[in-house]
Amino acid sequence: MQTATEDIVISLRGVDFGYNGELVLQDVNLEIRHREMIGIIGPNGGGKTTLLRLILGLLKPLRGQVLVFGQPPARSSHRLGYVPQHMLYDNRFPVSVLDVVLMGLAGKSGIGPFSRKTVHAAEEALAAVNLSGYRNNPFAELSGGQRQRVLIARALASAPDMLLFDEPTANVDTTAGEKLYEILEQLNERMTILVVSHDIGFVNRHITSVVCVNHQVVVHPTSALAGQNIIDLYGHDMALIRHDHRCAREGHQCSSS
Amino acid sequence: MLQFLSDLQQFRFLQYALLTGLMASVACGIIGSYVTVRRITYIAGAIAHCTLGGMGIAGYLHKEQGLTFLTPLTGAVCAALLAALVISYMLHRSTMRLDTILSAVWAIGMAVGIIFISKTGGYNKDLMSYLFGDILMVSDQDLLLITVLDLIVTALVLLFYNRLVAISFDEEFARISGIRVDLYNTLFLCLVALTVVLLVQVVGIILVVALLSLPAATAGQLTTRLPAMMLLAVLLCALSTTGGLFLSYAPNLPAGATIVMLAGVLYLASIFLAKIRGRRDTP
Repeated sequence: MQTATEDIVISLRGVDFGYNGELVLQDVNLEIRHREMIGIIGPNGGGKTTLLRLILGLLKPLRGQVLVFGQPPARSSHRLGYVPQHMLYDNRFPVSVLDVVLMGLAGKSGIGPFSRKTVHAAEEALAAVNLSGYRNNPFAELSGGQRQRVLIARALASAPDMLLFDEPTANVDTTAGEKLYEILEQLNERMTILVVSHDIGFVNRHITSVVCVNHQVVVHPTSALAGQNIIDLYGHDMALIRHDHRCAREGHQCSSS
Repeated sequence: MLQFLSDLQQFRFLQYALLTGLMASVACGIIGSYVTVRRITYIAGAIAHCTLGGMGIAGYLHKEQGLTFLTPLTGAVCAALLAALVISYMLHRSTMRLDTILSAVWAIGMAVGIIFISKTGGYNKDLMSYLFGDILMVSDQDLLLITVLDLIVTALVLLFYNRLVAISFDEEFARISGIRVDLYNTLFLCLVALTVVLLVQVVGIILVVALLSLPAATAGQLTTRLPAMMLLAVLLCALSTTGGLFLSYAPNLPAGATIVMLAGVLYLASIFLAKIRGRRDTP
């Protein structure tokens, strides 16, 4: 029992959250264990991003408790590595690739210029996503997939214990997406990973459990769901169909069929 | 032309003007680059206009109440810092629209200034010199304060450079990674406020925004990293202030407006240059 509770990285208990009096998430109970690879899926507006922001401590629950490494997120969010959707900010910002990775360490280094040790940590993070050769390139000139990898390196630079991704494949093509998940798989050998994605087809192959978010949260172990026959039957479209069934409130039975 | 150079050796006011321009350029290039990449020129504009209130009150107390230690410049510093603190408090603590907050700070500051200036005796030449700058009127006391402000701004930006860049690039990520974003944003707005005060001395309230954004925008066209952009912006700003002062001297043009015109011409030239370069890169 002792090891089991120590193993829990993220725990949400009875969490409600809403904007302007309207509940977006209701009575959410969720536990994520060390070295799991979790996929958060659900329809737009269902509360995926809200759930992520609660875990990151950017939002506070109306009711219930969010614990990250056994502490409130405000105190432990620095142990999380966050990879946002890259389209959200100014893509003409004048920075090099290494500059962006170093930003992951800005909160931890002292005042004044970065130490040699800090720069070294950033270079190692860049190597982990196979982009060492691009360290001095302008960030603005990279492809979507490369940018996404730089942002992973930025999250990795501070040596987090867990990585959280918001739609990692939203702005990249299929090949780049495959490459991203290869990197995720490697990283999963040493840390817990949580991926928010509308693209369940991508998520499916690597994920240990799926969390469906549509105002309420339901957890599925993927082993119970990912029958080869379903993939054969539906091919690429499987993403859409599974998405619908498993997130509809009354549709969960499909998991056993 | 030679007149300018010989007068520069002879007249203290011209030396002070030149020094003020060069000094302000350092803070202007650095903070202007941040302001440009963060797209908050209008915050700087609101702070600039609000300084009229401080200058008006200080001028009134100086002339009418005999508080001679108060100068328009010290009044401007107080008003600008107050405006920065109000804006930053409202940004972090209220759900009001930023646009509304800035309009309020902008207009109320000016209204206060106009009322106090109207109640201050003497020739009311002050309003015009506050609005459009009077770099030739900088006193030795002003120059000292300008130097101190310049050093404060430059030192703080260099010390906190990494955190300020991280916040400018991605505020949310900075917050998650443990940077005290609200604190640094407040500090940053105070630095913008001090820079605005420096620039008010050079080009006046109305033209501050131009000098803050044009050299930085020009530098942004030609560089790909923020430190390079800042350095180039400082140089361009120094070129504009010095060149503007020089060009305006013999024909007796307003110095502030000439400086901004020069900065504008450099900006247009950089767009043209970037276009030509782009065409050459993609045949």
